[in-house]
Amino acid sequence: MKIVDFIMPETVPDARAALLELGESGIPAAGCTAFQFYADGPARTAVLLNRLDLAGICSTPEAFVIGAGTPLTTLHRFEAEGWALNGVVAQIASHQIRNISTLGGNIARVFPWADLPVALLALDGKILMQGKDPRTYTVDEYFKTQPTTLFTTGDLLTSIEVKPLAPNTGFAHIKQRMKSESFSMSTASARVTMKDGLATSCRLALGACIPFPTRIGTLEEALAGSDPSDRPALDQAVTAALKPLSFLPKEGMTKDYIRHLAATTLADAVEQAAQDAQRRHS
Amino acid sequence: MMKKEAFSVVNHSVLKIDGLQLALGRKSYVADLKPSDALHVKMLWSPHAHAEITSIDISKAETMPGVCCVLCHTNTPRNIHCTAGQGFPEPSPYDTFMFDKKVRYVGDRVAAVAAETPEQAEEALKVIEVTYKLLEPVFTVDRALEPDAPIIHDEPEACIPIPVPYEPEHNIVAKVGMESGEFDQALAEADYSFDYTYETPYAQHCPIETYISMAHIDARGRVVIETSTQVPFHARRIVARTLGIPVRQIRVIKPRIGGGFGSKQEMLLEDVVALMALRTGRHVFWQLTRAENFRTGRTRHPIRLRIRTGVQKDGTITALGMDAINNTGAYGGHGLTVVSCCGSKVLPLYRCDNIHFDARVVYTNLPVGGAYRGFGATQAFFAVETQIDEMAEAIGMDPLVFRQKNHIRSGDGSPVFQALGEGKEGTPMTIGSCALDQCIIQGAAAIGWERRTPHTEKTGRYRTGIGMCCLMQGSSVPEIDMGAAAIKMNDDGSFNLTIGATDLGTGSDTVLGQIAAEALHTTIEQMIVYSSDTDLTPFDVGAYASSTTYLSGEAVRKAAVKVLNQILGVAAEMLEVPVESLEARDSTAFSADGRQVTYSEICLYALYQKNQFQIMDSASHITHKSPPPFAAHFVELELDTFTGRIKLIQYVATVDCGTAINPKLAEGQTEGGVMNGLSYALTEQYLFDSGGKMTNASFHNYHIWSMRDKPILKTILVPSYEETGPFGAKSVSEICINGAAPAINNALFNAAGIRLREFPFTPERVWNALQEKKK
Amino acid sequence: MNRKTITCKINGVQKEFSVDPDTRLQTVLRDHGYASVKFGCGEGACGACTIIMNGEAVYSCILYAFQADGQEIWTTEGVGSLDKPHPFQQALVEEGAVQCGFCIPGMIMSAKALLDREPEPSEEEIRLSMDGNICRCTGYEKIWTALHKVIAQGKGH
Repeated sequence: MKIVDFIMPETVPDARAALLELGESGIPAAGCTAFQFYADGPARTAVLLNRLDLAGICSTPEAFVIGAGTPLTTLHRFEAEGWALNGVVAQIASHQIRNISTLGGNIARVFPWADLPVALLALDGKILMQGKDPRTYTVDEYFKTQPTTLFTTGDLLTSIEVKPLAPNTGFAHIKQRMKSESFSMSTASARVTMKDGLATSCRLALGACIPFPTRIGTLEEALAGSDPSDRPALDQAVTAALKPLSFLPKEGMTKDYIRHLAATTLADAVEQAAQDAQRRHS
Repeated sequence: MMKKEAFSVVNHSVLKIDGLQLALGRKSYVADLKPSDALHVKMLWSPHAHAEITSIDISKAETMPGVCCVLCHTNTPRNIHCTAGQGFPEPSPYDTFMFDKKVRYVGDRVAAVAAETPEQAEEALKVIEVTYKLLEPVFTVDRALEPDAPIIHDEPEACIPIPVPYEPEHNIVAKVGMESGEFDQALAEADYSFDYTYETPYAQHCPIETYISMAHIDARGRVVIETSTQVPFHARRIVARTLGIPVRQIRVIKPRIGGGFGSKQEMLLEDVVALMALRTGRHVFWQLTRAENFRTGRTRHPIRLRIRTGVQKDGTITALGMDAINNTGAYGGHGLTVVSCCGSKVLPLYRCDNIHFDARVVYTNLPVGGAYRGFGATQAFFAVETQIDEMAEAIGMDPLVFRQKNHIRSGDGSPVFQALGEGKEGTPMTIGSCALDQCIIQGAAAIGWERRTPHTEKTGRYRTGIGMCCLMQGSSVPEIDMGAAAIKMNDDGSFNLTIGATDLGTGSDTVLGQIAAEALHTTIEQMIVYSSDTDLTPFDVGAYASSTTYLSGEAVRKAAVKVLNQILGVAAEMLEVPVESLEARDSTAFSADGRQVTYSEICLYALYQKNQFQIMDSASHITHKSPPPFAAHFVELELDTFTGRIKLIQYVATVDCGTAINPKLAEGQTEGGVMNGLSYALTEQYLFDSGGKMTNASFHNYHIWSMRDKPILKTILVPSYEETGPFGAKSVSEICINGAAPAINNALFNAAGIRLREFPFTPERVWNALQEKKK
Repeated sequence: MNRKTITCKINGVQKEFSVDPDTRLQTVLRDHGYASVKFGCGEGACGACTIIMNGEAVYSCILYAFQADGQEIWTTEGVGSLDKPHPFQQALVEEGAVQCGFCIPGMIMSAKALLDREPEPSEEEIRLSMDGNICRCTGYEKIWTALHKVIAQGKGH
């Protein structure tokens, strides 16, 4: 993809207007770190979003509201009760990438290895977009398929709302990769609510090892009311839930092994989220 | 030889003389020398693993905007040569043309364009019209050796310049072997015998600076090549041959370079930039992209090693046999010498009366093996050190004690030394310095070897294991390689030291400066070191075979001694005393009667005052043995038996390099080599598609580690004194990369009772081994 | 080719460049004499091109030049000099941490960004702030030692 021009609008309406005028030849640009992975295509004009004041995190009782233009590093450094994204971001790439990549850029177009969609599916929340009018998607709606299909020309992500972890709820996010900065082979994210040693409900998501990040609804149902520390039972439930999924070979390893890795990682995430819930509760 | 305690410069961690300049980011590397009007080269690489070029039309490319020169087989000299940076005549086949009518791997040269900008050069590549006749590709050594296999090198000009077997019609690049004692009988009669085959993988050196060269024509019409090379003199000679121009028309200069590790012991870019400079009269600059570095650059040879060993109940190794098949890829440079080192640098480590070694080197249509730190010993130690552990296990002996019982010692020889050289017979050698016993003891203490428990007692998901290996290498290629040095003195008592020896970042400029300063009784600050310029520095084979300290260092020491004699001669004249009565110390000559003259006074006298002459001299050196450094490596790891993932807990690397001329630099070599060995063992691999193209040619999916994954690493220099080396030194740079794969494999056994026969130890490989064991 | 002007501050000095929009920041910097910004991979993975932009370490090889418009940039040229090297540069030399030196300017920028922000970082913060800088020569040991040396001396920033 060749960039032949760039524009630096100062407001969201200006950015939208520019994108609408450019049509096919315009492309929203924030950190631009993903551009090297775009295939060759028509020449584009980059519409920079960094001056739109879309960066920052603010806490409300219901949600953390994160500007789409927030660099990943900001998510890593942010600390608050119920905030869970630090550990997720720490496992993404290298600091140079985290310093410039934005949350919006990470989820506007989902690459197979993407980390944040998996975490957001588990944590639950909303994605806010500005078109002619603002509209909101739940994370489940947004990540149902490749989100680029939800955008029409000129649409921009403005913010992402993430639910804080309740006191009886824990979270774990495990990314299996060859070296620390590598793309994921298998990412598992688990949010587990515990009561009296049993998981009352959970949100579980898997990514990288399968063609598109997804929640594992059948496993969530199977685990309701179960004891996550019973590992053999947990493994059995995970294996059964993953049976219908197709796995991808990774790093020269077979899809059969990746299936096994994904299953183990998902079970580990459930186990660790449950332990995190006990810890947060006490 | 001087007593170690008396060293004032050597064995001190003096500051690396280029350290500050590099830390400041000052212009130092080839890319920094590029003028703004240099032409940029882009190469059209073969998309096919094996094909004839039936037609090629560069006419459209030649008229593209900004294009100044286009080269392909139709307009370049057809001079067969070898790209390997080795002495002449090379122990490698001449099987390469600058551009050929045939391509032999995905990444082979097809055509090159020089244009005003890299973008214009890329655009011109797109309009070069090539038609290929596809040939059956050969992707395995087994296929290559079948009687009906396609012949990869069928050019009539292919030949080998030394009298060794070369059978390109059978895809055989070389054959080498040796026998000692009665191997077959000893194996049959051993209490326990073992027969396992191991495979080692492709890997790339990944210097952070990719291959890069620039050429221009100077005012007198000579070609000046500034290049990132380990072998400036070999490069000059090979460029001369390839272009068909005399050596005297070429100057090769190596500035600071960004790492080599063996990859740049090759003439890979220089011929193209030189020819283009001659044809255009312009500066011509060529830097490979990282993907090109992986696909078209040199690699580590993948080698299949069948190791057969026999051991007695009492721990005596009675039979040691190695059968190696070396996949050298599409071209044969370094193939014979690498596989020879599988034998020569590994088989002597343990005393054994019955030794068998047989090796073949085979062409395939895959990326080309070259020189890579360790040079065959790396591959062979994985196999042999795994099997050593296996033998110890069989007889119920601690693998550390087993090694202690059997390893070579000072005063020992080995029939291997005499039999296996590099392309010819070797040199007999008796081990001089050997502190391997101390390496083992100190390393074991540092890792806590006594904490080891058998794998049979381990339970639970996460299991720790401790493993070890022993290593040796060599120092220089005796009787073959030569290095030389020249020293001249200046008014203020400083010296210019000029050496052909090549500093890749290894610090050889500093180390050789230290050796000179020690011999001259002066300080490192007084040494002005200039290296690796074929016009201005004396000859040196270059940086390989762990030679620079042991070989080039001795040339430097000898030159310094000659210059010292001149200095004292002048001092004797100045003080009117016999020269024998003088002693040199601290840049000063002292007479027996208490008078003194400083080096500055001496030089001012010699340059300006009486019987004037330039105090200067030179010396050359060839070595007569290749004294091994020795090492013992230990690793502690934690294995997740649910996934096969390995977490490194700590690593201990001990090394006996003789006298460490610069201890911090010697540690630095060891630390860097260990890290390289670790990722080679665990995460580095070449993945190929069905057409023979590497699919993971990027640091995003060829995994070498950052500081984030650095394990706890302890390095211990164990001193010894090698009488034949300058101030007792041997070498240190290669041996350190050989330990990680076998030590980890042995630690895996200690953790979970599994042994792997190939690596990298990906989680799947380890997990499969765990499942196998359960059956 | 459509050239546009960008302005930014480099090592404290206001600069103006005429750039092709498709050009990466690394190319512009090197073309204008900032030789410390090295080409190692061109794809945001090795760190040899690391610079500081608005106080954070970034890969100049994947940043477009236009992303630097209006920003403040530091390269190794602005960190120290022959007469007055930065304490971390001095420590690297003293500890024998500079081998081929090709990764070193990138290491320096990552370390400087860290220490300017946090003079006493934890081990975890160090690892997370020095990831993405690859060295093939040193195994990181002596770079690590040099970093701890300046932290202990309180001379990081």
